[in-house]
Amino acid sequence: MKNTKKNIYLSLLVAIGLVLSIVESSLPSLVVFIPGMKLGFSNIVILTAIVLLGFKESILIAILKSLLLVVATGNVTSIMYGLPAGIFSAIMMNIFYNNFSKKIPVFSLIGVSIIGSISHNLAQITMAVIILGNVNIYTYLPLMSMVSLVTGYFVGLVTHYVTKNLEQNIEINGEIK
Amino acid sequence: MITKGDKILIGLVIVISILAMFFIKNMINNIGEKYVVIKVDGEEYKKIQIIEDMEPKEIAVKTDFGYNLVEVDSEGVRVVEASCKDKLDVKQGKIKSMGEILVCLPNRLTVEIVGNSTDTEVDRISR
Repeated sequence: MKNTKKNIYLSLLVAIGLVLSIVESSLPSLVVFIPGMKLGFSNIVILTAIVLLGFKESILIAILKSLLLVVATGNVTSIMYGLPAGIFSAIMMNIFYNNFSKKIPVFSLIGVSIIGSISHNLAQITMAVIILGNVNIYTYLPLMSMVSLVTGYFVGLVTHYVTKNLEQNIEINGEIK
Repeated sequence: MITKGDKILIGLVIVISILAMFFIKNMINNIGEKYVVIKVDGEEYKKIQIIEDMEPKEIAVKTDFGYNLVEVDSEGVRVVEASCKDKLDVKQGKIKSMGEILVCLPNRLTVEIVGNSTDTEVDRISR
């Protein structure tokens, strides 16, 4: 029973993340035209998974979401940027959430999601530099970090309320883990 | 709900980003080689590199469309004389940094400052 419930939560989170990514990828790029530049709303799902489910599950959701996004949008090149960036940012958020937010409350979820957003951009730009073979792309990083602050703040706020409500729901129905 | 650590993180990112942006802007303006490209009717007429401590150099552009006198020195480039009526290009003064452009429409002349020919533009392979 426990496993079934966990699987349902996992697949629901993947589905929500996928929809957010599809909606986001059909929006025009507002700020700069960079390969893989996105607002990163699907970080909401991954951060929720980190808080509620744990390390392994959040990485699994990040990988599944990136793979399914390719199937859904048909944009094959995006996986070269999206997959490493998704995994890297999930790992960074895990580290910061477990060490600096849960144990010692240095950052709230807002800080953790800003770190995730920035590391997502960093990994994406690094992949773009490797694939396109042009180091000058790093010059976009400061501007992207500024955008990350805004989207990261928003993502953190949303995740805060989502997890607050979901935690109650989970407690009523018993432990997932 | 927002903690002190968050605020410090946000402040740190803003400061570092702004500093990096200034640094990058300076780097692009100073290190790259600058060229003046004079074009008439869309075709390149002359290309001159801007070097430090160079003597002011005057280039007469005489074509079927009209006459312009362009002056290039170590700082930048300006149009001194023009045969057109409005002389908008003369009034525009001197252009100094990369990407700026002087235009004289009646004579179909453009004078622009460009960087190295290896373009750093990224095309949109994917989103």
